[in-house]
Amino acid sequence: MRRPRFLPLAASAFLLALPLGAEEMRGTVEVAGRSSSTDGNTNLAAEYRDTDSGTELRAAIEGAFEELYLALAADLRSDSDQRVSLTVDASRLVRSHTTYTRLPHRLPHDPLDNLRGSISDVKVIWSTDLEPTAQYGIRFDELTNRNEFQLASLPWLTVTTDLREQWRQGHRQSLALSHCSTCHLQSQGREVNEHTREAGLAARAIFGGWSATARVARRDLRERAPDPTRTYELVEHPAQRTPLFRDRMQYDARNGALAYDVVPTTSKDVARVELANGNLGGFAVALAGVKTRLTNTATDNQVEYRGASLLLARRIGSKGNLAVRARTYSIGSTDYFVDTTEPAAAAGPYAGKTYRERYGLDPDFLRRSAIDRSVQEATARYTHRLRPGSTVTAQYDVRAIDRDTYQVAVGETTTLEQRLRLATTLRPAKGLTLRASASYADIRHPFAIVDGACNLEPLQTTPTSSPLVPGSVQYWQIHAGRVADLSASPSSWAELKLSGTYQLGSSSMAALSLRYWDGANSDQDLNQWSRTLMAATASWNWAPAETSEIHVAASYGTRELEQHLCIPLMDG
Amino acid sequence: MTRHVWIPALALLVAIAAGAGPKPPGEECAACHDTVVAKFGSTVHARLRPFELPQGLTACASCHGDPAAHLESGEAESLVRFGKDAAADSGACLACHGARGMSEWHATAHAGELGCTSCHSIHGSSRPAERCASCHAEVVALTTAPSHHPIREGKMSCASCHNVHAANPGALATPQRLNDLCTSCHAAKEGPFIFQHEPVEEDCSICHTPHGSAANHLLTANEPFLCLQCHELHFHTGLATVAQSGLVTIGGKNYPNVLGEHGFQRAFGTKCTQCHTQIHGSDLPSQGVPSRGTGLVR
Repeated sequence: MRRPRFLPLAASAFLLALPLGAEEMRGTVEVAGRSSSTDGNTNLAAEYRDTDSGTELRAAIEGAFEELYLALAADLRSDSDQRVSLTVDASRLVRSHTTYTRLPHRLPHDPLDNLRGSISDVKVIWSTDLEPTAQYGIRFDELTNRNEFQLASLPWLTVTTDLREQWRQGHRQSLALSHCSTCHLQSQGREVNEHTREAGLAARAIFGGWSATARVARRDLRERAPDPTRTYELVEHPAQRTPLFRDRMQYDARNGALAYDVVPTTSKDVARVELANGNLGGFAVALAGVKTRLTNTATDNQVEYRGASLLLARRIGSKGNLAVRARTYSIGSTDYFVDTTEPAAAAGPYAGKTYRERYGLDPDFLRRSAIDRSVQEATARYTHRLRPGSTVTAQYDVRAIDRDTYQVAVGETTTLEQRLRLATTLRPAKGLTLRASASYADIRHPFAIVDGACNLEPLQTTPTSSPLVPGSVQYWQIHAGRVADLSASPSSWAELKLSGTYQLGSSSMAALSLRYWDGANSDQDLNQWSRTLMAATASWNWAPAETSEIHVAASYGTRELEQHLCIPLMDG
Repeated sequence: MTRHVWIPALALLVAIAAGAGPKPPGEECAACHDTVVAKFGSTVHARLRPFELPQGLTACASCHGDPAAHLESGEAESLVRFGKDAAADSGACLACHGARGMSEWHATAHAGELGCTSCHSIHGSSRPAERCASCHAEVVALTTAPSHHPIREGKMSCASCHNVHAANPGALATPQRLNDLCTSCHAAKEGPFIFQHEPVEEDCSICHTPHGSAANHLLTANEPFLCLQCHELHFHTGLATVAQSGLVTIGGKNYPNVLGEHGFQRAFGTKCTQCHTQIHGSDLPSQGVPSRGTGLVR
């Protein structure tokens, strides 16, 4: 990777030039020493931190020249933990803001030990870790830059460029599974050298009470590290050690080393236009349209998004505020014909025949994406001010998702979501603020998988002596009988939020908050699914001086999930 | 990267070359309000030029109105004053900002109750994102969970994902879906892939909770329980492959208990993504012909 050199150079030049030419300069410099230690899982305790001891430098300097304003802020914690920003303002004709962020990200290394617990007499899944002591992690770098250009002679026009670049560099664990004779999981490190770049150009024109904005942008994703490869093992029957199952596997050792864990190469084009008026007959109005096209350049698969939205808001009397928002969008993608490789069996009574010829199963199919859909949604919100700072709000949201092909219930592709929210904010005494809100949502046909599990009925009618005896029934034979729907999404949920803050003098504040969320889905074949969340927080903040602050907080949270599991009692 | 260094570099050069002379902000006001004016001098508003403002008034006058009468009489009432009602005060801000990226403000969830000054300090610099915590403490608490985005490390803020000035659902910083926001940074998960995992196409939040989680990878529940909410368990993850003693009764019939005495416990020790590594999708087929290559293991 070519590392961004611009910012350190610009920062150095700025620091050298500032005392020479600045009319006014101000800033702060903080130097700190750091020492840390972690026990247990460092990946969790310090996922985004360096744990080495060292010196930290934090500085913020700004200077005003005759025609120019410059501001530099730097937070340098270690070589891999930094944040720098540079702001340039030239007589308001050019406004530029650039940030550079770098952080470490420790990544887990799964020892795969748990697989020993999932087997007993015969190894069903076994694993090999080629780098058992490796510590994985990446360094994340991000550069953002935004420039606004405006001419005094054309004050109604603003042109903006923006750039965002991200790099992820390092290594992560990469697992590859090879089938038959048993499932063999192999772990090795995968080099990461991922680069995302998004560059945009926008223009905004203001005329009369209207503003019109247009932006086009392009985002590219590239993984420059080589794909990992694996030579998949030769297909054998797990017990007989014969090539009986070669009609079941699309590839094995005979295909040589094959790539896996491949990061896609993609490009995304975005275009957005917006037309807004702050007071059109008493209404604030905003109309917007978005079109994006995402392309996987390796497969030429595309996803296209087209959307439009309308916002209307106005004051009702002196105390009311009404806002309505509506949006419609559609997503369409490329269909893809999957031509499955179908080798012939090399042994047994079906030698020379493919799986299709043996069982009559056609493994080829036209993949139509679950993303294809059209969506309509609307929100209406009314807020009434009881007095300054105290309000009551009622909000209603509705959304209909109509998927092209993906079914969320048998023969049903549409989800209808409705939500009602009531909220209030009260300030009964000076310094005291109380907030409460209650929401209820009803979702008809939430996202689900309609053949997620085996219903009991097909099993009981299977005309074999016992479908549960190993070897009597093949897994795929019961696959068609998977008719029970399962879901991780609620068909209704309710939420209650309570919070209060109390200003203790001019420099101290205490706060309490409570959130309770309860969702359930009783539409599933396998009975109730429910999830409950509760979070309570208390905090106290004291800032005795502008440069010092004490913050004490305690949180307590619970998350409870109730679900029924389906574990099929079959072999295959 | 170097190919695009020219953009900020060009902006810097143009900035240095550009210009009309600056004027110290609020000179007249500083005679009485020196502390406020001094703080105000460090803000972006102090640098505004007449061509940016509707009335051509700069510095203190851009919000408080022409100070001529106030300078003469000293009466505060002759100025535009703020502070009684933050929501109502926003009108002054929107006179300029309404047409500059804040056109959706009136339709946002915050608009009815809060105003610009609820989060922004006009006379001094401020960190608006830190104000979120005063009302959304329970969300901030989640960011300290074992699995979290680098928010408490200072590398992200609420504004990284939320735009409170826009009226998008959830105040998300995208005019599109939640997925488009997530994949603006996690682009490798967006595909489009040949072999897909349908909930990935549907909504990232079916499996992930972005503010923080006790489960790994910001999941709503740890594996395998997350996966088992939608899928039945694989036969071989709990199966001993040889028949165990004892029977299990299903639907009134007795069957040999092939899972063994502790089969279920073993099943719960599995992690689906150890084998189904490409859970977000893949362009490469898995090995099996019966599964038609859809196993998301390669």
